Amino acid sequence: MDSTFAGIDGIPGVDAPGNDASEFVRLYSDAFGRVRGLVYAMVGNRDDAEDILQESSVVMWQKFASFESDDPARDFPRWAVTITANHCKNFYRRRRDRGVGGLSDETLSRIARVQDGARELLELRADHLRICLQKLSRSDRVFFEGCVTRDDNLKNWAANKGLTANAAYSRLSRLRGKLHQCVERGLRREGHDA
Amino acid sequence: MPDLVISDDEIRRLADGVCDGTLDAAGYARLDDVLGSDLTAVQKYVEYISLDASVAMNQLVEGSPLQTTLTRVFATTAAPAKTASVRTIAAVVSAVCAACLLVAAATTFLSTPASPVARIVCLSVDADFSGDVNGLGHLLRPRDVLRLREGSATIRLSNGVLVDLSGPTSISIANERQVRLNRGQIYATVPVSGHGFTVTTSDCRVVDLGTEFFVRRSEDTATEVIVTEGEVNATLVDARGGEVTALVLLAGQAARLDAIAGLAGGIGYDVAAAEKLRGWRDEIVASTGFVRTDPSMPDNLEERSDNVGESIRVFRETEVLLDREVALGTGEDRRVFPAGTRLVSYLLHYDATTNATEAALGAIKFAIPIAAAATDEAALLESDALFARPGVVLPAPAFRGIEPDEDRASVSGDRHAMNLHFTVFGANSIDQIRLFLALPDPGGGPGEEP
Repeated sequence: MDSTFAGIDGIPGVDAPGNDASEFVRLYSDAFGRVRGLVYAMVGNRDDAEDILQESSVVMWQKFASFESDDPARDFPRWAVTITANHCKNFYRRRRDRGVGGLSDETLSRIARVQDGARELLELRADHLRICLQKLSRSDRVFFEGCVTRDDNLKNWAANKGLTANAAYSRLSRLRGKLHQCVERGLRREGHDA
Repeated sequence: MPDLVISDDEIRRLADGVCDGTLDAAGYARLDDVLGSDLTAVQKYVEYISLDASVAMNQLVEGSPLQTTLTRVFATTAAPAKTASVRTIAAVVSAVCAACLLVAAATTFLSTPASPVARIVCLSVDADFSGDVNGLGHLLRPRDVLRLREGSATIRLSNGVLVDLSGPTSISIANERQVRLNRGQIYATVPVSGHGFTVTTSDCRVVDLGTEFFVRRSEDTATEVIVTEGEVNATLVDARGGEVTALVLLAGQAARLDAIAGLAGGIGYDVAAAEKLRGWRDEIVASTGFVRTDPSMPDNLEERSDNVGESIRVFRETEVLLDREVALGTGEDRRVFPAGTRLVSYLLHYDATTNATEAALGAIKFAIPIAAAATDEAALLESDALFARPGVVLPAPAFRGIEPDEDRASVSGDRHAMNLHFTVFGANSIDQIRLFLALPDPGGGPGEEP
């Protein structure tokens, strides 16, 4: 993570009494699910998403003192989402600058809009996904959960399991396909458009 | 010009690459072209990558992801400086202590339940929730999500705002002044103490200006707002909460707001939808214990209905404009009503299951006073001709009414509530009571006090 906030002077909450922190925690706890969902939708890759989430959260806390003046309506979720979306866009700009490709600002805005509009549906899908995970064989479930919650990059993680990276990608893709179909079937049975 | 038609398989292949971190520049270019031109493809893409995201978001860390994130935030912002003067070391120690306090404050905040801001005050007999909802009296706190699968429910916020839900509906409680409608439909009745009450959806923000209004949201129709009384401000918002278009809606007006399409405008006023959800709002305000409202009265009350458990069901029966003087009720709850009185009857019906082991207790509270109550067989039979729902088979007369020695039913001192305590007595598992409410004059006059 690109952390440039290692100094002490002027850090809100260190210089200021702890009541700012309580207010920040209270507001952020309301907005956290929305912010996290947005990052994952815009970035996709877990490692990048968690890094961006952390970066954005640090900036939010650093700028919290100016939150009221930045946003007279005191709409914290809006403020938090705006900061986070900008970090996602910067992340892709840096990728594009490096020549490794990325999504444009326009496409990211579309993803953000769709993700926000579909939050309830995505919650329902997550409910079905929990059921679908239980339907996988134990080895498939352990592989999938282990892979998407790994601490290391996928190549190293696969190597530790005695797999080539390609074998891991291939198995992961097959399992995603299975889970996706299972979720769609579950939604159709409940009468939701899949 | 790039080919912008994309198959589901290709979306999944590209999304696999994004999630795995293996997509190359050409792959991103292709994905960007397609997602930039096809909203359906964006939806499919977001749904597909949510597979990994859902698992990662739920299982990435032990305990609360928010707590972990905040701990890292405070630790990061209070990281020590590298210079080593005495002053700096003191500052570092101070900063680390402050960070520890902040983390402790965050942990305490997150582990301390917030104070309740709402409770469930009324349920229909078929109300069914997802998750741990205890039924009537269940308390709701900020950040709670209430998912009603079917049936209807009413919650009362601590500022007096009543919100009726009709399943399937999901709402999130922000605080006593704000509720988010995730999906489904709600009807808000806002007293003076609740002015400014706000309903948000993905599409809009609806702010009450002293009113009753109906909001429904689905993926197909976006958000629709119908105002039955007073006035609301309905503001279209974009994905980041930015205000796009503001509408003022008066009673009898309706609008659709669609954030994805970026549209906000008037639509036809769907009276039926609003009235259906509004239900008996003018009459019933709360119930407790085993009492459940039942909007669909069965054709045969002699036979036990399935899936109603030990509920004391409340049916709204019949509205009658008396064309002659009529005496109704039992004992001290009997009263003579002059011709011209407009009455509505509610039938309270309890049919115990064969394995009932405890008394059915509860109460039903009305917005207008209970004018009379028929609690015995004779008074029920006497009022059947005028108030029984045509075509409904009623239990045998001997089984109707309550058993004075075993059951208790009493009207509260202010006459707004009926308190019930039914027991099963021998072979008679049925109890019935008919309540009569004097309705307000349609011209706007108040309901008659008994």
